[in-house]
Amino acid sequence: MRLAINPAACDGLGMCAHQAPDVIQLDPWGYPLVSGDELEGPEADQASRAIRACPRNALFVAK
Amino acid sequence: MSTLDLDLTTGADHLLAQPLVYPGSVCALPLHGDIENLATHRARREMPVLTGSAFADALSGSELTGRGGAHVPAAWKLTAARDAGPGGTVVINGAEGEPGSAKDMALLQTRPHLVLEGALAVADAIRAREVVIWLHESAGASRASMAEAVRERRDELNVRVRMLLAPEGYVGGEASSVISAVRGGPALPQFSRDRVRPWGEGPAVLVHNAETHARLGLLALGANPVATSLVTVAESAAPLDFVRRTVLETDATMTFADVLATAGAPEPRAVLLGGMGGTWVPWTHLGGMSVDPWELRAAGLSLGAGIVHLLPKGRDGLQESVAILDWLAEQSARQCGPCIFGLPALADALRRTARGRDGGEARRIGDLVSGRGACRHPDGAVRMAMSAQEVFGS
Ligand code: SF4
Ligand code: SF4
Repeated sequence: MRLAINPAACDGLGMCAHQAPDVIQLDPWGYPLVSGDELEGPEADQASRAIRACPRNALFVAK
Repeated sequence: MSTLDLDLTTGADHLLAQPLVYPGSVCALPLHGDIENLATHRARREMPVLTGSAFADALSGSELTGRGGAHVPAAWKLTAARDAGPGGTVVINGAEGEPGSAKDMALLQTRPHLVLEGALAVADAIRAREVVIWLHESAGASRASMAEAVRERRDELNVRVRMLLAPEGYVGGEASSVISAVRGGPALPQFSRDRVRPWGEGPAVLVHNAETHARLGLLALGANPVATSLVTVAESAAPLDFVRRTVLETDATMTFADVLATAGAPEPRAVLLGGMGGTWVPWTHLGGMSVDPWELRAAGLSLGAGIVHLLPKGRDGLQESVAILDWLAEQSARQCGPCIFGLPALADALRRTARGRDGGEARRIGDLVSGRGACRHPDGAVRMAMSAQEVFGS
């Protein structure tokens, strides 16, 4: 899977980075850096958790 | 604004009879005789207007791309809009957010029927429900000429044509802002990565700027829609203080030096090509190049929204770019963190570069911000800043 973000929906509070520390880093202003790389195994699990945890529905699986 | 003699000696595939000069940053009211009325427009026609699938086929065979900067082939958008089914909306986007541009205004004011012709041909081809004319409230002259053109045609229209007022500012003219507003939402950029079908689900909301519609109009009238390009030569007295904008029609036989000579503008130090989010090019490099989209592309450049923004000799390019970045940061629609925080940080980093410090920080912030907004606003700002460092950095 590949992770994607709608930057206009994101609140920058960083809940996702807690759920997916190996996948999502935060920029200096607290907004997540989402790479778009293909994720597998534990990283994909983390990404799925981040998607579910995001209070703004800003994260999704890229098509 | 100079007078314009719209007689039939104007080439069939041309948009303007002669350069139009706009003094100051205001939207000048054209002299009454400058507006091409319906009778004159009709007199140009040499064959029946192409409609429906004949128009779509002609468009597929042309190389027409959008003239707002993104350069998506117009045929792709038309096909996607046809596939989306009937009942859609065609938008004439006349809300140019680029302060240096005047080309769309020039067309809306002098060739309203040609612009309308393009929109009506598209509306017919996609079986649209309505045509929306999207203009700034402050664009009084464009609103007046378009309203008059619609009035002249009101007995023959088979779609609704309405005018919607855009908020002032840079991103109100962004296609996704327009789509949102047409659907009754806020006029703010929306997140979409689909350049061909940015309206998402349901009937199409097909947005083209005025120049693209005028070119679609040429196609509908059987003329070559891509024989020329419109550019605006923008001269300023201080950063962002435009004192003279000259709209002229160019073709690939002209160099940028020819363009400047036609506009009567002095040789600059450098040009910001394309718009505020464009690319700085030293005049020594650009002057001899042709106004040819292909040649420019090969050199890593783009006409963008057609703006040739002059940096006069003696003015500091880095200072100029800092002023532009500050302005672009202010124009952010304030929806996305990387744009809200990244553009001011980028402006500060470039300010430090302008004071003689190392430029590494601006590049680092640029890399961090680029591609991370819902719209391409930050990407243009980063592109401009990086080219400023390259051209003006020590
Ligand atoms: S959890 Fe959602 S809203 Fe919060 S920072 Fe992450 S993506 Fe943005
Ligand atoms: S990138 Fe900037 S201008 Fe574009 S939607 Fe986001 S905040 Fe608004």
